[in-house]
Amino acid sequence: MSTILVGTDGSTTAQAATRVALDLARASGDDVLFVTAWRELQGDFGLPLAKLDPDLVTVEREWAQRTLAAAAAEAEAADVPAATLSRHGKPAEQLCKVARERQPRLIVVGSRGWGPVDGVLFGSVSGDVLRHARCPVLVVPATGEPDEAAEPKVAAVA
Amino acid sequence: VFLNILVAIDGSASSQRALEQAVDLARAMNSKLTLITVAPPVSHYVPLSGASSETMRRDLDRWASDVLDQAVAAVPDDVIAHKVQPTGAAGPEILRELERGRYDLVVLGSRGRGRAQEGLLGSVNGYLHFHAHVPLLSVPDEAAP
Repeated sequence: MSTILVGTDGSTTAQAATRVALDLARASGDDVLFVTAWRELQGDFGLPLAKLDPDLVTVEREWAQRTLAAAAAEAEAADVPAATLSRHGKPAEQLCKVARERQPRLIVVGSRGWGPVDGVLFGSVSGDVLRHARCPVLVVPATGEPDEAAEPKVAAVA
Repeated sequence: VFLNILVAIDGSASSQRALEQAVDLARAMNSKLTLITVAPPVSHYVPLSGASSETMRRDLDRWASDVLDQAVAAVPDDVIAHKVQPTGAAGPEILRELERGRYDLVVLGSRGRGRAQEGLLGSVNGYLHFHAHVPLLSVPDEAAP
């Protein structure tokens, strides 16, 4: 038995990635490790918003916890053994770091998360993971309605 | 989850590993594999070098069919594997096959980090990441970190 690592940020593509990973894990008898990375919000021109309002750090960290809890619940419903890990830092960097530590059989990520659409061209998380990971990477594209239709992140916080 | 898998083959070490991964998946999920090798187009500059375009075309086609036959031979008997061999630019041809064949996954090798462009599929990876509407499994040529 080996591990499938899933990078999630709670977006609809990440949820699609989660479902694919759980199906794969069930078919192959693997367990799943959900990883989410959080970091301080930055405003325009790199303005460190977190310094102006420390609550924003808590908001980000709690968002990560909630995302992981939702993923773990989904794994339990699918009857797949799962663990979760919250890391502080850039998502792609942290995912690859965890992959080096845990040596998963596979990394599964959504093609794009909360980032802007042009993120696919300019350093998206999935693109960075594709380029830097040393193990197989499965990129799951968005299906159904786009993220814009989903509940926005800030609203979930308020 | 994946019943109809397209595997891009270019004879490189990472495409070999990609095929192994695809075979594992096919076994776990009873899926059908289609192996695709894209024969590159003949450069317009070939006649300038004195070589004939027809000879070059034949050589490129033979290269593609050799690579493809070797890959199909490496697939164990309990897995169904079809083959397709289009001619053209690798990325667009693989994309065309993806749209034609109702695949639910495309598997291909990645060049791997800091590696000189070994196979023909290196940049295809980025192309498909951007254009393909199905899940993409990218496999480096070594599992070790």
